Amino acid sequence: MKIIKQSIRVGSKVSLILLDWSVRESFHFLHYLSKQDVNRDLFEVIVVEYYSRISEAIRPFHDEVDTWVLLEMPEDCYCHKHLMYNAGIVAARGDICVICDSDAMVKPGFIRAIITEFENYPKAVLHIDQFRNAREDLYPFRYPDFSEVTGIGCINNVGGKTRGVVDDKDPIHNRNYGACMCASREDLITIGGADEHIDYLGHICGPYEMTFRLVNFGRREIWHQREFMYHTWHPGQAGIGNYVGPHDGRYISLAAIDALVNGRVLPITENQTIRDIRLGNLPDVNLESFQICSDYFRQWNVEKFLSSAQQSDRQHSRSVWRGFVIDRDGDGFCAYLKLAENQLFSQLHNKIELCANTISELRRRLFQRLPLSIRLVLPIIIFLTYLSRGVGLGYLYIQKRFSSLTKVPAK
Amino acid sequence: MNFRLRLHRRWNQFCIETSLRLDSFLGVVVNLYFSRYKLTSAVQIIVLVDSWREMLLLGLLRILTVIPRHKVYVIKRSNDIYRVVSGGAGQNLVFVTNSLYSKHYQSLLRSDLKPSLVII
Repeated sequence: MKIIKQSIRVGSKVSLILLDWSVRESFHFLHYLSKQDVNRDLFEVIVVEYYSRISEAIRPFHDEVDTWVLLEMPEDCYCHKHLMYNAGIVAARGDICVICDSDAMVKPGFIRAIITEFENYPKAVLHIDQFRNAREDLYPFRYPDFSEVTGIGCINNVGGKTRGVVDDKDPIHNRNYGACMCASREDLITIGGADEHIDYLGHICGPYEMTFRLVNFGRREIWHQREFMYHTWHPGQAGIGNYVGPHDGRYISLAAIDALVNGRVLPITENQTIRDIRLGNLPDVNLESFQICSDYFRQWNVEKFLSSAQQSDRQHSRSVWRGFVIDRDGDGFCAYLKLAENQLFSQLHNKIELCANTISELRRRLFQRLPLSIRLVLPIIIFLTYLSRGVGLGYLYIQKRFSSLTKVPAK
Repeated sequence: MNFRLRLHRRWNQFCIETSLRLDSFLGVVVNLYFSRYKLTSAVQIIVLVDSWREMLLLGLLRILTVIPRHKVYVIKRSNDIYRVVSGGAGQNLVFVTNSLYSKHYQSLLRSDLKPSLVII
């Protein structure tokens, strides 16, 4: 790890953590930070580079960067953003950590809005959604007006707000959880920082993983209703061709959903430095003390992690299968009914508890444990679900195609 | 993006989504079955699902007496949760599918249902 620049600011309230993994062509977010309507000492800017590149894109805004660190990960190691989040959290001196896009535009009241929101709701995790414009003529970035980004080509402008913020049908997929996440540094340390588990390697990751665990910790998730970020099109923004970890079919990490659903607060794989800070084992917290587990160099190797051997090693310590909770127990696995976690049904815990050496054996035994009536209806439910979903999605697709063909263009 | 790649991505998405939803729904069915063992008459079971298909399947299983008596609500929007709360569901045991919970966790956690939730 190499520290190019370290913050000398005192009394910053907000620490902005910006990431790069040798891909960023523009850091124009820094330009907009220089236009903020608050005292510059109220916030600090931390740039974390995953590899060893000293980005030329930062040079025009060099004075705006307070801390600049290169993690110097080997070139054959795939990018893991959560490691960078943790480095940023360790480097942060402000009470509020902000993890956001470094190629987005913000209005002059951005930092003020964050500070005000935390003054009103100190026990919150704040998200700020992003207007996205798909016009390719806005690339390379040429500092368009905000109204230009929300105008023609904007894919999510619904009456001056983002579609995600107004959506109440499927917010988890319609909101941009990765655009900007703000949380108290103390809270982030308490929940063990970002999860460095291998499932978050590559494109399927983001600060929402911490949001979910903060919600489980009792923090209130808030989406700002008036402040937004603005993003213009650039090549590779959709992450096509990147490695993707396990996701729910719509690019939200399964490990993060698992944490949310199971009420987990601590990460599966915690960073050693964050752990030391959390447990009070590190009296003098500074960026030099940030540790990167040496096993990652081998585990996150581009060629190695794609091999089947690595994939099979991904069993979490706790998972749910067909309503049974499966816990890793030493060398084997134990399963019990999810319902038994409820106080009213705690006696079921002993009644239906099975152990086995392998997951497949456990699943086979669990299936045999089910009554005949359930074993008979399960395949029917599976068949009917696939059939109805298939027919339903096919109908929607045809309806969409047909309506686009018959639509009369507006004059 | 060419047609084959788009088709492949859509098919992949369909398979993953369906298998996850199915796993969660089957979990609800299995847990509902076993709930009969300790169910006292004072406790009423409510199931929250996010599709009419799941509601119909649960109704069918109820008619076939595979699973015990329960109430089902289909939650399409966050506001629908308040309809359940106003119906007095706060005193009962509420089964929620994984997919529904991940969509509406904010409303569910803020509602009176929180203590009685069983997320599967």
